[in-house]
Amino acid sequence: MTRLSRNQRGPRYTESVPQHTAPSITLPPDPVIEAYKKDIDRTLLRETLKLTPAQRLQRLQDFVQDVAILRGAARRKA
Amino acid sequence: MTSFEQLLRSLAEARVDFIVVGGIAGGLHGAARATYDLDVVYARDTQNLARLVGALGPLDPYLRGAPPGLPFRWDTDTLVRGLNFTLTTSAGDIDLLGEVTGGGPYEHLLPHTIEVEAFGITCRSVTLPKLIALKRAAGRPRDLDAIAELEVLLEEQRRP
Repeated sequence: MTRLSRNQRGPRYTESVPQHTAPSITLPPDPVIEAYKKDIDRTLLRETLKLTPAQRLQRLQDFVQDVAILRGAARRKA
Repeated sequence: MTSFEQLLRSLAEARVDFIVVGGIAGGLHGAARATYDLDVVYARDTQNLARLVGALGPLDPYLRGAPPGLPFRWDTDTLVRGLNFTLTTSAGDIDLLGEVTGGGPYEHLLPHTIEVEAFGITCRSVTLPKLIALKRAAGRPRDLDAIAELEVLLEEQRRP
């Protein structure tokens, strides 16, 4: 994805929000969630982590669009 | 089909104060899970409600799942009387949350956000640890798999 220069970028939604460091959050391990973690495909996540947030969102948008096209095709076929 | 770009652009151009949460926030952080709507926590001050009405008005918002013909007025009075709205619009589905379980209103959530850019728009998303905390607080069984994915994502991000 092409990175936009500062003056090509769209509007900032607010000018009033200060930049800050987020407070830390403690997440104690949950045995149920730990059990679910075993089935998570880490290789898939490592691939998405190589993308920028913009690329990740574009990928989600493309996926939703593809699903809509497939659903439309399935409806026409039925 | 939901156009995340159009929804985010509409909010951004109207300078609505909002925070992206839910599946799209997860996607921005790297989750591979699909999502079909946009969830945002919005500020409840009068000026922001007016901006929100202006932002989504042209997209003909209507209560998602409500029977056709049910009277629904998209104005600040409606927003003042309600809190969380699940809407369908011409740009797709959007959930407007005045408060979120485990996170409270916009102002409480604000310290737990980061600025992100997508589609040439700068907006605010909840941080990954806070997103996990919100999903844990919601306590929905259907979220267990998503929480596990987000926690693995956090581990991967923190890997040296």
